[in-house]
Amino acid sequence: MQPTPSAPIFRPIAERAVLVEFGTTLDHAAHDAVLRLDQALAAQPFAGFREAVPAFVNLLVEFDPATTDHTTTIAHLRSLLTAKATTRPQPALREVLVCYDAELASDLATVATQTGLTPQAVINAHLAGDYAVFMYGFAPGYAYLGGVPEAIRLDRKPAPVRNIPAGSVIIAGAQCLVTTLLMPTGWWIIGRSPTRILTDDPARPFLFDVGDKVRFRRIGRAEYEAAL
Amino acid sequence: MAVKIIAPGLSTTVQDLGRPGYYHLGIPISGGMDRFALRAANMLVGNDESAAVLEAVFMGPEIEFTTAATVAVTGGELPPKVNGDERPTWEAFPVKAGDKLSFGFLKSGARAYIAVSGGIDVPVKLGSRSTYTLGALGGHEGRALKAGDSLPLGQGGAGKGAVPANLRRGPGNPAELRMLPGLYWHRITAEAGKQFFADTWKVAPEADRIGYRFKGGKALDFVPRTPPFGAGSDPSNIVDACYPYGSVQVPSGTEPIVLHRDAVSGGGYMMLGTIISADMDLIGQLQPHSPARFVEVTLDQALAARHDRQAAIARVRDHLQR
Repeated sequence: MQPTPSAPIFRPIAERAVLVEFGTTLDHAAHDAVLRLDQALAAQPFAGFREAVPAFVNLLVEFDPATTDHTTTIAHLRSLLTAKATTRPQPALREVLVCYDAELASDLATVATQTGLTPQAVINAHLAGDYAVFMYGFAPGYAYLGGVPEAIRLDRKPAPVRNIPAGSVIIAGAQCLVTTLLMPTGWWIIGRSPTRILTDDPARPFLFDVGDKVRFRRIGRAEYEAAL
Repeated sequence: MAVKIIAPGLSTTVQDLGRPGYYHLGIPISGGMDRFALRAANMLVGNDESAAVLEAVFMGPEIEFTTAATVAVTGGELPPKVNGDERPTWEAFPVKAGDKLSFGFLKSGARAYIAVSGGIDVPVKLGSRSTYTLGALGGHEGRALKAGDSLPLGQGGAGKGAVPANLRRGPGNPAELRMLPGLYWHRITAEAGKQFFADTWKVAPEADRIGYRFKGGKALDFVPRTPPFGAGSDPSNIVDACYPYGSVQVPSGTEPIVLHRDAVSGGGYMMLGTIISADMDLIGQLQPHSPARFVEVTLDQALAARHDRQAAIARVRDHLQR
C-alpha cells in the first residue's frame, strides 16, 4: 500500500520514533501535509514528545519510550490529522545573492554541456526558479530548496567531491541548496553566495524557516567580494 | 580550577549526554558515543550524570590539574597514569594540584571517558556542552582539544568507589548489533536480506562520530523499480528523508553506514533499518577492522533491550550509592 496525503502510513522506525509517510515521490500535496502535521504537533505536543523533523514527504516524530509508546503517539498524530486544518502562516520571501563567476562555479560548464544549454541559459534558468524551503537536512543550516526548473535538472554525480567551500550554490534534480560548511557533495556547483545563512541567534540560528519562499539575485564578482 | 591540556591525544573532545531538539535544523544530537560509559564516569566522581567529560579516541591526552580533584576513566581500556603511576579504570582516584594524568596504550575498545569532579565547565551552546566539530559548535571553541588549552571545572563533590566488571558493558567478538528492519527493507531481495544478517562485517577505516561504515559483507541485490520523482537514479536513492540516529544506510548497496551522534540529519540514501539505541554505545567502542554482525529484532525486543539498558545504568547507580 502506498501512502497518500490523506491516508498517511505510520511506521515505527525505531523503538523511540515514528515516521509518518505522506508519499514516496516529491509531491507538493504530500509536503503540505508534512508541514501541517509538524505545525499542529508544535501547537499540541503529547506527553513524552521529544522532537519532530520534517522532510519532503515524511515527518520523523521522536518520543520518550519511558513516558509513552508507539500506539499512543500514533493515536495522537491521527487526532491532529482529523482536527480542523490549521491555516499556515504566510511564508516569508528571502533573497539570496549568487555570483556565477567561473572560478566560483566549477560545474557550470559541465551542467551547460549535459543540458545542451549555454552557461548563460543555465544561469537564467536557475534565476527563474520558483524556490521554497522544503526541509533542513544533512548538516546544520542545509536548507533544501525545491523548484529547480526542468531544463537544468540533472542526476547527482556518481561520487561525492570532497571539500566544497561554504556558500556554494549546488543543484541536483529539482533541488537546490546553499552550503554552510566545508563538506563533500555529489551535487553540481553552479555558483557561490555571500548571503549569511547562519544568523548567530540561538532562538533562530538560520536564515530560513521551512516553507519560506526563496529568490536568487545575481551579483558580479566585485559585489560578491565586497559582500563577504 | 582548571585542567590544562599538555598533549591532546588523537582527537579528544568535550562531550555530555548531547544536544537534542535541533535536528530539524540539521544540527545533530552529538554527545558521548558510549553514553553508558559517560554516565558511569560521572557517577564515579560524584557528578550529575549529564556533566561534561572528555571523550578520547584510541589515544589518551596528557592533562595537568591546577586543583585537587577526583578523576575516573571508563569506556575502552585506556590505562590512566598519575605522574607515571598506573591507576585502575572504572574506579575513582584522587589527583592533587600539579599532578599530571597520562595514558598507556589502548588495550580494548575505542573511546575512553575521562570525568573530573565538578565536570568540564565550558559554555552551554544550544543546551549542551558537547562538541560538534563539523559545525564548530559547543565544547571548547567548537573543536577537538589542542596542547595549551585550559578547560574550566565546575564545583566538585566526592568520589564513589568502582564499577565492578560484571556491571560494565562492552561489545562482544563479533559485536552483535541489534537492528530493527526499516523503511526501505522492501527495496532489497529476500535473499539479500537473509545474507545481510548472516554475513560477518568488519568496521571500515571510515568510522567516526558521524557514522560507522562496515565492509566485507555481500553487496545487496535490489528489487527493480522505476526511480520515484525527486530521487536519484541509483537503486539506493530515495526522495530525501530524515534519518533517525542509528539509521543504517547502504549507498549503492555495498557498505552499510550506521549514523552516530554527529550524524547528518537527512539525505537521499535508503535506510535499511535502525540500530536500537541500546547498542549504539557498543558501536562507539569498535575499532576499525573489528568484526560485527547485524541481528534482526522486533519492536518489542528493541523496547525490552532499551529497558534492560536503563536497568543496567540503574544497577551501576545503586551499586555506587551503597
